[in-house]
Amino acid sequence: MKRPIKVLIAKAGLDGHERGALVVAMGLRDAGMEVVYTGIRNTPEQIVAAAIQEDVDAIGLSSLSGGHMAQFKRVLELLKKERVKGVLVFAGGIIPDDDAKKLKKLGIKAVFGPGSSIASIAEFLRKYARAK
Amino acid sequence: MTMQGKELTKLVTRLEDGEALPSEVYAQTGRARIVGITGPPGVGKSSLIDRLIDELRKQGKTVGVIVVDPTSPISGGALLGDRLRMQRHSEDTGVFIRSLATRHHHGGLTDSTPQIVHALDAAGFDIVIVETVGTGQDEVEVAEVVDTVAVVLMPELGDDIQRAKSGLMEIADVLVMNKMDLMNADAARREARPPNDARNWERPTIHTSAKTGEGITILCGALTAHHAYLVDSGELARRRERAARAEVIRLLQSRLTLSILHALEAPLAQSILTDVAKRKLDPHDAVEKLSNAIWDRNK
Amino acid sequence: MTERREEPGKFPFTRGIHTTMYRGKLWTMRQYAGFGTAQETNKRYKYLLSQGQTGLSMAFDLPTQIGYDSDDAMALGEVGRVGVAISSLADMEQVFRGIPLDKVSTSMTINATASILLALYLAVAGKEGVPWSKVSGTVQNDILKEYIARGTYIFPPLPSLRLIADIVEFCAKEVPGWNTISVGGYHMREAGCTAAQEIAFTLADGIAYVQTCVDRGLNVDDFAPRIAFFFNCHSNFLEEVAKFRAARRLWAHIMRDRFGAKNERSMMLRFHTQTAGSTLTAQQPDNNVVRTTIEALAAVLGGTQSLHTNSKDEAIALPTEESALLALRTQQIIAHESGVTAEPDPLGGSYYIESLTNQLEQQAREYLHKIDNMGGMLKAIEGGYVYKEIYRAAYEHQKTVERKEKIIVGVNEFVGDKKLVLKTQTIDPKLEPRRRRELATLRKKRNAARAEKCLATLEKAAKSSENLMPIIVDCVRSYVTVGEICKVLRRTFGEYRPSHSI
Repeated sequence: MKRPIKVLIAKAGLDGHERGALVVAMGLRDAGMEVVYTGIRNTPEQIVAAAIQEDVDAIGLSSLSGGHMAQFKRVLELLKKERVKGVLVFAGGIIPDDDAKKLKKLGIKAVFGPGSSIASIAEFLRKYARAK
Repeated sequence: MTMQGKELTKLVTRLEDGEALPSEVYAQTGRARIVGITGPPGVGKSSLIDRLIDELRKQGKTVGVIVVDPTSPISGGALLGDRLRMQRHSEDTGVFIRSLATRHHHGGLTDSTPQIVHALDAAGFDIVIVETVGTGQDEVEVAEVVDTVAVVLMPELGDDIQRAKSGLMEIADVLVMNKMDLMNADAARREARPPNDARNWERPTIHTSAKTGEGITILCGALTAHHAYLVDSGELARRRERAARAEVIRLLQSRLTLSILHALEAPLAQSILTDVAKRKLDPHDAVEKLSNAIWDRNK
Repeated sequence: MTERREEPGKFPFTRGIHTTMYRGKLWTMRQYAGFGTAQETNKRYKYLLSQGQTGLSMAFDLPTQIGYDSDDAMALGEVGRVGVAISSLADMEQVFRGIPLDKVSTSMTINATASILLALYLAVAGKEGVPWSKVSGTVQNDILKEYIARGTYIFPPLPSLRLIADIVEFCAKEVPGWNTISVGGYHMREAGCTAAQEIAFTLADGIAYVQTCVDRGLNVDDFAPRIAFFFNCHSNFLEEVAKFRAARRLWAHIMRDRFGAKNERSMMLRFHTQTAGSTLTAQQPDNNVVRTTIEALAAVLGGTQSLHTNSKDEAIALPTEESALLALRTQQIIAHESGVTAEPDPLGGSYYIESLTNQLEQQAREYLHKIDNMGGMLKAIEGGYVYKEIYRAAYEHQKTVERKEKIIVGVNEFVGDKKLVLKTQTIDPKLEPRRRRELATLRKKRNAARAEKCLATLEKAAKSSENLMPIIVDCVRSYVTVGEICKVLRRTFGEYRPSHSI
């Protein structure tokens, strides 16, 4: 049986709005993926530790409070420091275009803004996340 | 610790995908205490484990945790949300937490759970905790993999549910009544008496509240006491023998099933099946016809 | 269907809590604002007041809401983002410099740290020479919804309810003009629940708070008139009008029949409304002006006491000055040009509105009944029931949008080719280092012994059942910081650990 794609959906920082992250988590489950959802108030360190232990194919970071630059940057730095390979990082939430461009340069493969469909996220993952 | 985070995590992934446990890893197993935590959904198993990890770490023990959640039969996906309640331990190098989806295996465990337990055991964790989906009658399978079974319930679950969970009660070495903070404590203490049991181990009922931390130290103590009982009475060796036997049988069954399914793909087999559906051939005769083909294949 | 003879200003207030409603006095135009520094916030407030806004609404950054000073490690990347950073009395003084606290009323969106922010406000009033009896405003102070829909909780439920009751008790005596709880459905609706659930879960939270205060020995009529509500105004125009009417009718009955209130003012559901942020789109943002207008109109026809209209760029970032102004103008045009203020509850009597009102009332009643059977809202929340209901509804909604059963203009239909890039407000990256310096200076300059003593008193009182408000006021006057107070309270009360699941 082909191994399902495994995704970690996490919210970094202090933002407590879960709707988007939860809806995406449920949607990806219904799209046949295994989704680890770690809730709110994760530090970048906790996110990376979870991603390693769970051996995920992708990490979806959600932010609506504007703290994304500092926090997502830190996640990417830690992934590099821990020499984590082959993990796709994508983001969602309220992220202005300029910031999205900067994040993509840092290594975030896609930013899904408001109005994005679960179908498009699932398609993106099927295309780019290599299920081992 | 014999295996570091990434090495262990990659091994678990390979085991999850059905690969065999390397024999040199299996040779390292047998040292860890294996504890199963099971019970119906919503009783607070994950929050309880979060607290147990605290307590065990205070005692200087390292902990490996396997959390199992059901795969959706329709989509094949799974929402693994139990880790959320243990996230604060993520950075502790003495703790390893891994969520697994059942991937269509019944009985609350994944096909590969025994192997993954072995991997954590071999990695050097003092305690390996396995949290399983509380599906009821199927819980019996948990008992075949772990040394100590803690069944978690909560007060006021209702008589019907209690009866359905009687399979759970049979395998419970320790009974935990969680969420004591919410309910009428006296009523709960009345409910807590376990059914009669012929074993020498006196199954304790521990009242806990994962929310307040009440009873956690006592629970830890009960788990340790049970392990001591297993060792002293020789029961541990017997359980491990049963576990090994069960594991081998399961692997054999798995292999045989694959074999059978493969054999059924043959055109002759297909036509036999069609005959059964059309009432031209009865199932037992069909099996006679087919089993010759299948057993021949395996000679 | 029985014919109801309901009248505005008369029990059960379905048609409005006042007899003349807006003919007598318009709703308060209260635009949520606050970001970055105390200085910027002060400037924006003065601007909005000069443009005709009649009440101030304060937004705080997440560290302030969650009890961390701007220099705390947990505050990294969050300082001044979703609101103003307030760590001490110095910051609060800066926000209200030149603003007479006896002439404006301030609504503070603050929950877990409501007691501290209220204390800060009162300390500023004291310094301005304004007696507390002349001070008016609101603290949201609604912790239950935080656990399920907003996330800015700190302590577990019981100590949090204690703090809420401390505020209610304190204000009943010392600050009679203060609205002590603003029970919110806005966030739960934003999180995805339905209109009927919004009514039910909000009123259930209200019931829990009233019960907590009554259990403490307070007389319901002594504090209930000061409990206010905060609702969402969503896109289904007619359903929303009916929702407000149903909510008023239900609450009136709950207060009179369940809690035995005698004072009519205890039975009146007074509420602030905010148009639904979740209906705003990043695609074709000008459409949002139209959406907000329709939603605002529904809130006015629904009889709101106070209204915030969203700016068109609110889906993307904090609003610019221009879009914030347009949002305010939207309300002013409805108030002065549309004529809908001529009669209270002008849609009352319409077959459809009355029938929708009854339907929503019935659905909400069923939810309330269910929650009662679970042992009340606190148990319903802790058992995960409310969380599941809300987020499953959210998921269902998403599915209807993706299946195009629900059309969102510009998003899944009538899509434009050009993607509009809006000018967004940016936060100064030097803010966090500056805040660190400010706090270091504050801690050096203040009377350290006095600060220590206050904190020690606080810790002792927190362990007892003493009302903490006077002590917190003392603390903030001694320039003890928000974070320092919360550290003590975290130590004493513990921290809430979520345990929900879907």
